[in-house]
Amino acid sequence: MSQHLGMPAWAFAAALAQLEGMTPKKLRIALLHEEPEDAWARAMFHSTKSEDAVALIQQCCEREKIQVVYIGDPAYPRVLRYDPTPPAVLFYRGSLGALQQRRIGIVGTRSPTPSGVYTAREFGEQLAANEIAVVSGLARGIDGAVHHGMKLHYDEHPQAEDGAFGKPIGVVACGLDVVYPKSNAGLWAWVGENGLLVSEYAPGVHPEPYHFPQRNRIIAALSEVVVVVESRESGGSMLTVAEAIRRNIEVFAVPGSPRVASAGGTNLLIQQGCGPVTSVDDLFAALALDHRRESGSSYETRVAPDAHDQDVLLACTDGAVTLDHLILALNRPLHDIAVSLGRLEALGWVVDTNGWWEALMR
Amino acid sequence: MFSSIRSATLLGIQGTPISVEVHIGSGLPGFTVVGLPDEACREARDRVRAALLSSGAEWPNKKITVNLAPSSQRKGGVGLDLALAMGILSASGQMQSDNLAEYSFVAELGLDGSLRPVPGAAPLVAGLRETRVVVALPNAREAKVASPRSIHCAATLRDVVLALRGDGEWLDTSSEEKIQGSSHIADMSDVRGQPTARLAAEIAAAGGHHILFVGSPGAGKTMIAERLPGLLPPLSNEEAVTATMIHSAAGASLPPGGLITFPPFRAPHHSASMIAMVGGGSSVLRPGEASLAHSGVLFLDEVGEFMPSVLDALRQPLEEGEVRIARASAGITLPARFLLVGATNPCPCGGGAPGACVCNETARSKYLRRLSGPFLDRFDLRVAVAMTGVEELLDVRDGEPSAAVQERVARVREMSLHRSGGVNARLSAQELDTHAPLSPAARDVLRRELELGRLTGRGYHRIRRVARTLADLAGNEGEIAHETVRVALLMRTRLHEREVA
Repeated sequence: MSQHLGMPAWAFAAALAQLEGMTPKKLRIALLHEEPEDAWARAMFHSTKSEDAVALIQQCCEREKIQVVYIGDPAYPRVLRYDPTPPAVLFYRGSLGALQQRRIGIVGTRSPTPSGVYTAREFGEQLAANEIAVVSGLARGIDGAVHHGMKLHYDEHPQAEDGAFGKPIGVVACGLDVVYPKSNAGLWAWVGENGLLVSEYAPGVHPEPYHFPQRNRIIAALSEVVVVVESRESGGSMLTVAEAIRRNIEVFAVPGSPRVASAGGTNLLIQQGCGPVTSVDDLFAALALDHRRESGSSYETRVAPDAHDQDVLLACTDGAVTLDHLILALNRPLHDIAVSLGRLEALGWVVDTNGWWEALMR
Repeated sequence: MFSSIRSATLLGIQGTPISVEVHIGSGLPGFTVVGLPDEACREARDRVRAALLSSGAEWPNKKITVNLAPSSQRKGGVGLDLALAMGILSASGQMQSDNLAEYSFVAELGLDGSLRPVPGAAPLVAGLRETRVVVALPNAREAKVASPRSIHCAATLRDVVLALRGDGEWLDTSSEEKIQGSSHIADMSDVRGQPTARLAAEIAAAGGHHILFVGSPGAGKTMIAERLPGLLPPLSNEEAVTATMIHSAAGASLPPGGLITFPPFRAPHHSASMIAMVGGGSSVLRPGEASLAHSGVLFLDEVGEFMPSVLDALRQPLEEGEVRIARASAGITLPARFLLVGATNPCPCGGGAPGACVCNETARSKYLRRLSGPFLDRFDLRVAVAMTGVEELLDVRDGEPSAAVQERVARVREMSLHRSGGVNARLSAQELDTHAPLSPAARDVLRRELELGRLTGRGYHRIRRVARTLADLAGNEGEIAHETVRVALLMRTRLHEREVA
């Protein structure tokens, strides 16, 4: 151990994580009972690889501002230490202090409906306001939307002191310097600066399909409760749910219309006994917090549509519809419908996706 | 020992007169064609020799030189066969006719001496208007479109010679005349439901606005697009002749009457090459689909599957109404003012409604990105087409027939012609200010869209043009109300939407 003077233990852990052929399980076995230096020496016993690899990854992490904890490290998060399958080495940006807050995992499909996106965004916004951290995967769709919602809240209150808001916690399936998906690059950086961006994978590792289920187990492990906003009957979110159930973590789901494919999974979860969630208050209750606190969503902020527009709004409530549907269902002149839709959109009651109109109800 | 016979060759959709000069002199027997002939012209040597011998004429065993004048211009095609044969007959003294100079010849020869039709007869004859033109019988109808009075037909080379000598008669072609073309365009009354797409088609026809249908497979995009030519007014005489010339030059089929009187409908497959689309070619410059659709409809089904370069090549004709093709041998301009109708699925799986699609995000965004922004921007109307509901589908009542829509379309077209001399889609920005002033409320609506970044500068003008057409359809000549602008906005769905999160 003494011959490695000058190199920190975490660098050895990181180098081990980066070894070819290393799996989370092997890494866990290696690091659970030995110090990283010794584990590295054992791994190197038959190898010609020198300590260059250790120095290289140390430099790389310092350059990319990536920090490393391993399972024996005192700084290693307690929530993970007692996990059945803990990640032995964690690469992260930001502060592990984010894990001190109450934490809700919010996950969902990568191809959501607009109303799913708005729901996730609203949850993010209000959880941020109520000092509850949100664990998610920074994927496209729901995952991105929920952290985007938190960012909106942060942006609205630029002067607030640190720790006043719920922190974003992003668990990703590739090296922290490899942004995936690229479209979330801005959010990725923001989470790293304002919360905790964490990964099991060493810098430079690209996302492989089999990384995602592994990543999902960490999302579940870091959450006190898991909420699925929208999901098909099979998919990554359902794997997260399975991991959560394995850990006795309660799962909630946002109910959706049975006609919408991307609500199939969440509705199935509710049928199987998961609690339904329709507002942030339900989440407070799930965390056994005071659900009477004044959350932003307890009253409707939007100007109510007048009776004339109400018909149009109602016609859009049962899933997305095209103009055809409105014309035939309402039996009103097109210009009249057009004006109503314009007003409703301006007030935030309906959204248009490629010509499909959908109501945003609470 | 010398003769000069008139014929014509095709350059784009124009016939250029040329003289076929034949010289028969002493020397080693041989047959040379000079004057930049293409392969088909050169092969004429063998066809002409066989045709002459089969017709009972004698082949002069001398040195035969043929020059196609003007010699600097490339000649293509097989239309020179008959002229060549006549030249040899005349130069070898086998046929004397004083009035040979009054005739031109445009036909291919078979080895048995029969006359065969050639592609592009109409423009070829148009280039030879001051003479009498001899063509093969199947070419008679289209030739008469170009030059109604001076067309003569014969079945064989022998008949041509006899008729020229006065020993025989030209074939009677009067029976070929006056066959009125009939419309085979399907009728709008077959369409059930689909009020939005119907209205969009009507606006497109009335204002000449390009239109894009977005919808799942089987929703009826193609069905409506195919019926669009039926909403357009019949072609004017001038348009009809131009359309016929183009079709003839491209060797495309013509209606029984010879003259194209209904707006053409062209639906090229998405594997179409750039040359097939805009025209061109190495030796003979042929008109492409864009020109064939001139004064009609160019329908691109699965528009995203077309090669991006092919779609982008359409931008010039979309803007200018013509295609300019430049080649080393020649440069030509072809008319190409068409109504562009595109159809596409919203994503590879064709799911339709948001949340119903099962494609992954990458595949989906890649799919719509195949259509470049500038190309998408050129569609004034972009309409989501959803599956017709069961009730409407089972409804036995017919939809509104095309004729009724066509009446309104014709009225609007006349209004806009009076106002600006063209269709509304071609109003310039200045003309918009004079002819399509916005009411204050309408201005506010558009200002908001612009401020939200949902409308580009180009989109702003396009919305105003569509609004003008909408107001015209409703019979309002004056200021454009905000309701009308709202409808115009609904008819121009945003695609390429950035992810909300």
